[in-house]
Amino acid sequence: MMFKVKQWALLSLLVAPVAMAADPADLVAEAENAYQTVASETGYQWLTTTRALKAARQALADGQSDEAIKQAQFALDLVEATKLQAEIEKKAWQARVPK
Amino acid sequence: MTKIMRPIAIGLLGLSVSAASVAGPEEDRKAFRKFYENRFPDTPVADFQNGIYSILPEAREQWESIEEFPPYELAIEEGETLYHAKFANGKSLADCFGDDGAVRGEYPKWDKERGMVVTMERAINECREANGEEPYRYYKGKIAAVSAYMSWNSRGQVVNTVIPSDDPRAMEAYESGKEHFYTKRGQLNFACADCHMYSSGMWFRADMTSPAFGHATSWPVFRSKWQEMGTLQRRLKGCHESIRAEPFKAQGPEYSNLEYFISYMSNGLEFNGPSARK
Ligand code: HEC
Repeated sequence: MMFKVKQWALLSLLVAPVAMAADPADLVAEAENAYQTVASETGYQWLTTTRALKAARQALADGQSDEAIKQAQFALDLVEATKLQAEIEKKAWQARVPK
Repeated sequence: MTKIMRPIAIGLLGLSVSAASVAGPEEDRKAFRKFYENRFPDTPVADFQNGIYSILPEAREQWESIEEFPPYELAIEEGETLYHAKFANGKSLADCFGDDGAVRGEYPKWDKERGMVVTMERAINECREANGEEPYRYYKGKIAAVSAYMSWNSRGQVVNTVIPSDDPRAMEAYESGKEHFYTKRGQLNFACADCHMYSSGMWFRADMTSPAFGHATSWPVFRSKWQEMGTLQRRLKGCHESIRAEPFKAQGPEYSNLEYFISYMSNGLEFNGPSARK
C-alpha cells in the first residue's frame, strides 16, 4: 500500500513537467473558454482579463509561446478571482442597500 | 434569494397587492433619498439634479459660467434638424414623439409587450427602424444630438419612473438594476454605491464623486473630457472601464435595467438636460 502511494507520487512528479509544457494554443483556448463561461454564468467580466486574452492571442500569432502561456495563465488566474467575486457578491450586495 | 422568495411572497399576499408593500421600490427610494439628504444637509433637495455641482461649491461658479454659453447648444440645433428631417417615407421623428419631442419624462419606460425597459435613446432608434431607416449608433453623435433636443424641450418635467405592479417582469428588471448598483465589479472591486453613495463627495484622484441621487436627470451631457456629447449609458461604460470591468452592450438589459433603477431613485427631481460636465 505504502509502496503504491510512493510509486504514484514519483510517477506524477515525472509526468507533471510534461503536462505543464502544454501546447500554448490549448492553454489560450482554455483561458478563452473559462472567460466565456464565467461571463455567461455570472455576468462578471474584467477588462483586465479581456486584455490579457488579447495579448495571449497576439503572442500566439507572433509565435511567442512563452508570452502566450504567461498571458493565458494570467487570464486564468483572473477568471478564478472573478468567480470568487461573483460568489461573494451574490449575497454581499444586499448589506449595502440603505434601510 | 429574491428569485426564490418573490413568487412565494406574491403567492402569500395575493396578486392584487402592489409591489410597494413588500419593502419594494418606494421604500428603497425613500431610504436612498434620505441617505443623501443626511450626507449633504446643505444641498437643497431639488439641487441634486446638478450632479457634482450640487455638493462642490468651488466648482459650481465655473460651471455656472459655462452654462451661460452652453457647449451643448450646437447639439441641440443639430438635434432639431435631425428630429424634423424627413425619412425616405416622408415621415420624421415628429410622427413618433410629437412636434417638439418633449417626452423625456416618459422614459425610461416599461414595455409590457416585450417585457423590457425602453430608454429614450432606444425609442428614438426604434422609431427610425419602424420607418425603414438605419438606427443611429449609441452613446454619442446623432443619438446624443436628438436626445439633447428632446431633453431641452422637456426641461422641467419631473422624473416619474413607473414600475407597473401588474407585471412581475418589471419588478425583476428593477431588482436586477438595483443589484447591479450595489454589486462590486471589476478587478478594482468597486460597486457603483461604493463611489457614488458611501464615498460620494470624496476625491478619486482628480475627481470628486457625485451623489447617485439625481444621476438620471441631466442627460445627455457635453463633457469637456470627451469634447462632445454623450448619453447616460456612455457614462456607465466609462465608470465600468475605470474599475477594470468589461462594459456591457449599449441598450442591453444590464445597462437599461441599471438606468431604470437609477431613474427610479431620482423620481421627484426635475429633468434638466442637456448639461455640461468636466
Ligand atoms: C471608482 C469610483 C467609481 C465607480 C465604482 C463608479 N463611478 Fe461613476 N463616476 C465616478 C467619477 C469620478 C465620476 C465623475 C465625477 C462625478 O461623479 O460626476 C463619475 C460619474 C458618474 C456619472 C455622471 C454624473 C454626472 O452628473 O455627470 C454617473 C451617472 C455615474 N458615474 C454612474 C455610475 C454607475 C451607475 C456606476 C456603477 C456601474 C458607477 N458610476 C461607478 C467614479 C465612479
